[in-house]
Amino acid sequence: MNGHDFPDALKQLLDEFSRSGIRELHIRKPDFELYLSTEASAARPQAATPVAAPVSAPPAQSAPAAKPASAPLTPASSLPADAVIIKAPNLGTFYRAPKPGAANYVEVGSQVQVGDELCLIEVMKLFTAVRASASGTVHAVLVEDGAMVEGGQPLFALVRD
Amino acid sequence: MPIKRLFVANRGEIALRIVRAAQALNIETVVAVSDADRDSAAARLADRSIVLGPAAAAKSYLDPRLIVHAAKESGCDGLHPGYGFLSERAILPRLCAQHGIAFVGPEPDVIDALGDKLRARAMAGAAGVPLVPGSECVASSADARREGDRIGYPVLLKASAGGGGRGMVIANNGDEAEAGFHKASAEAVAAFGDGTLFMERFVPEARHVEVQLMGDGNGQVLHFGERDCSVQRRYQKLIEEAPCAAMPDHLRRQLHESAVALAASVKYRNAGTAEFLFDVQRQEFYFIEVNARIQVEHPVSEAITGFDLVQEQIRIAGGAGLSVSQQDVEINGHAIECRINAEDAARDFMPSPGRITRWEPPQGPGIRLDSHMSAGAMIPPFYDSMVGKLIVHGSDRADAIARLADAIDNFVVEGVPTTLPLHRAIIAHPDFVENRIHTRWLEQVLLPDYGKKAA
Amino acid sequence: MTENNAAIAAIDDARALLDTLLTSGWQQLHVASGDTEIFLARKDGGINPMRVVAQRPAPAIAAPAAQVGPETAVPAPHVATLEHALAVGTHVTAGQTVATVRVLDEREDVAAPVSGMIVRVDAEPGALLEYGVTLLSIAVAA
Repeated sequence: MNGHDFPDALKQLLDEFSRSGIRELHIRKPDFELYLSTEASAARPQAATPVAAPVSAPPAQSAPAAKPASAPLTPASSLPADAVIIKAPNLGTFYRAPKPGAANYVEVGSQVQVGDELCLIEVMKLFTAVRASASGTVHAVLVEDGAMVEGGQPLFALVRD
Repeated sequence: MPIKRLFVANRGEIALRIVRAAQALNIETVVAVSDADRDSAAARLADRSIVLGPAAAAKSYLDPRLIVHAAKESGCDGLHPGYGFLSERAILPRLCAQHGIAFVGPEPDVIDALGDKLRARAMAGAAGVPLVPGSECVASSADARREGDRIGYPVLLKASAGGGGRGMVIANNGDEAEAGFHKASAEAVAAFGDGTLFMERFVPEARHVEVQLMGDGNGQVLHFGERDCSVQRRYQKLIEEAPCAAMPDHLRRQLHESAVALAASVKYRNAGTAEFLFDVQRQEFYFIEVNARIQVEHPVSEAITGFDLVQEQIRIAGGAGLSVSQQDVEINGHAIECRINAEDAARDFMPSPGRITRWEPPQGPGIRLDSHMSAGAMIPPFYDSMVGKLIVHGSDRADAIARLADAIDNFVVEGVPTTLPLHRAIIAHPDFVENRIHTRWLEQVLLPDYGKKAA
Repeated sequence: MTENNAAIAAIDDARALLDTLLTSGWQQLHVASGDTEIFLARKDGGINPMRVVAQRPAPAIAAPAAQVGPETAVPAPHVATLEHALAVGTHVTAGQTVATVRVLDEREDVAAPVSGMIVRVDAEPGALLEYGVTLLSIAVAA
């Protein structure tokens, strides 16, 4: 394989899509369909609408056993322009509390300082604390507790004070 | 009554290993899977698989009610818990007993007693097993200082309910003992919901040795030799060997006798392992704990004795008793196992779930691979990172090392990084070749250099 | 992997178009060529014509019974034995118990995720249900 097999091509496209900031990208061929959207509403299944179904393609190479990253709880478009986005350092399960039953590290509206713990990402029993890279207020929590997230996926939006 | 249909309450390589052992005994198998493991090798090989719940272990492999319900409703009369997950939780055998299923493991009361380190220590002492000099419960930082002064530093503060190194702190003097008490107790509360601690002498350069046991539940216990598992990182074993080549024969005999006496004193049933610290300087061994289950590293004991321990534990659970006697157990040659983890040792052992694109294991005499992997297989991010165990058997330790080096060199894995290159570096190191290792050797000696080379 | 070549080519086309869109001042881009159709839009771009078409019922297909909307499957929440399910034809509201399952001696209610009518009971009482299998199906009230 010379670096341009299907997973590579798809990954490049996904990377470029995420970086571009555009809203929507849709490809359709008779036996292949790919639909990318940053809007939460677009991810909901719609009756009789084939959505993002690469028919004859192998699964993408990064952990397809994981459930697709859940739709953001807050659409990216509603975030303030100067929001600081805290991203997942690696693929894993997103935990908002240090252990089951404990209080969440932060809630929307919490004041945080640089270095404060915001959540845990667990992969294969390795827990990594994700810390605030800026001081400010938690404006939005972008992922549901317990969801599988991809490396680089936005988790929190902070607004600097 | 012999088990006719066995429920396998585990995943990964051990689920596959149990299915194969059951098939060799003409026992039907039902494998429990999570949503992420529907297509696992064990599920494909078994007569049936049942999806318990979603990928998260808490909602599948760690829910004893779902497991016993699935076992009962699928007509199973036996249940094998494997290792990890619920294997040492007494609730599982209790539920099995309530629903007429034979549990492949000890009685629940024995699991409870051995799972509590303080009780296990008291039982070991009563059976005449050497204990590391230590304390009863320590209730305060002042207690910790007093006990530390009495035992002699360095000392280890440990969680009574603990395991896997969590809630463990080393203290080199009285001040550190006081500070360590607060830290270890807080960690123990967070990890186990119980802050009870005890203390013991810390042996800085100890080896980890353990005895493979098999009991029939009526007081008869056999040993299958000892293992040396001194190559560890953060209290997790990476390489295991059998026998312990660093131990003289007279000590080895005492070690086996101690382990058998302890297990016999509780009429232990099933495969189990008594773990010891071996202080090479003092030529003494001290009891650590008993693991009341089959262990990851059981294949090295199988290699040097020629017995199938998983088949034996299934037969015993079915009421057959031991199929061999102690004089049938002869030790031949030397075996080494390395745990292949999907981790990037050059990046601080970052777990690396993903898809295996090439998987071409070595073959040849004296090589065994216990793995559920194959080309195209997926390593899900939800569980531990072990993808297989490579076991070699040679005429002696040097021969086994040479075979293992060859086997690793001929093992092609692509798609995700694994610890195979690290294993290759460990077994090439003069300290390993000359058997001068201890439980902190990997972290103190090899890994600092390994990091530099990789960078 | 020849069947993937067409997909890879389409992805490459999309990447090139994405580049074009980003370097242009356009809000959206819609290209149909041969059997390939590609649409891209910025945040303020127009609606996606490819999705609009897909959502419109094809005129050739006979309209389904007017009061029956799309079906929602109600899955088993975990491995369990089905005790009881409401009958086909029962009208239910979201949150209402539609089935009871059992794990060992403990019973657990399964709630309707949507309001509508039960159009099919997919499992037999007494059957061992695996996680995720469909217990029954509810046609969403139109």
